[in-house]
Amino acid sequence: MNFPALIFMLVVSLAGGFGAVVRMMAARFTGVLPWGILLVNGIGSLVIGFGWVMQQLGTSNVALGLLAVILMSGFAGGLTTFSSWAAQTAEFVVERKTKLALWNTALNLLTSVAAVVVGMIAGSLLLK
Amino acid sequence: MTISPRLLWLAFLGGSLGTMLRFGAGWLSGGNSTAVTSIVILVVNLAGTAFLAWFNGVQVIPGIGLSRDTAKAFWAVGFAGGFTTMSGLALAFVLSSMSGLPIYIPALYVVFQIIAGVGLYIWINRATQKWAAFRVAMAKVVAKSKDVA
Repeated sequence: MNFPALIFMLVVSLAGGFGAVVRMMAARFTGVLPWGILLVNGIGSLVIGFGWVMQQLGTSNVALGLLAVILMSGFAGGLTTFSSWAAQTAEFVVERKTKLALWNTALNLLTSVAAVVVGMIAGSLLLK
Repeated sequence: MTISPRLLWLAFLGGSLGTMLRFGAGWLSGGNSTAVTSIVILVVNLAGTAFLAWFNGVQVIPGIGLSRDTAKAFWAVGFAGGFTTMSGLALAFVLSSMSGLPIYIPALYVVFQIIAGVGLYIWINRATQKWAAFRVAMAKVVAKSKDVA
């Protein structure tokens, strides 16, 4: 790995760190379900969908392609979390709160998948 | 956990480290295809979940350094959260569905990851808690035997 690639990796990592800070603040919003985690998973998925369109356009525009990777692997990856969702769902399962476990799973998955699609559509409309 | 600038800073550092490892894993896999990326996301998500299950499991040891808020901010919120990704899982599902594969293949990928993630968390967390409780009990026995001697 050459020097520019290392610098790029560092920038991606710092973007992920920033995402983690936003997630930490959002995670305070919790109730019956961990709404803060659901919110960041949704927003991060929107960003990754948008970034994917940027990446496709990045084949002809290098700067756009690099920015897309920073957004997708860095910020969106750091913002969203699978492990926190798994931990919270596991707690619901252990406490025999099956309905909450199912709701937490369904909402996180549906929101994330829908947000990716919306991000892709938004990216296609705004960037092309 | 009350959020302070110090904890935010630690979450930032942990998140950066987790992101760097995830990005590095993707880079090392060398694949740009959706299939390779999907496998990397699966491995990363399960490994990060296993780590968090272990981390939360050792919290039962009284006075352990890992139970401090600073350690939780760095390792649990920052590192494990930054290493794993829900958006990557959702993107892998959408891209696989768009690639012309029968829909049941990406659906199975997501269902497997969900069941494996939650199951792995429960199993590792319970095993770690049992191990930690045994360690605490043994430490008490050793302390008692020293008192008797």
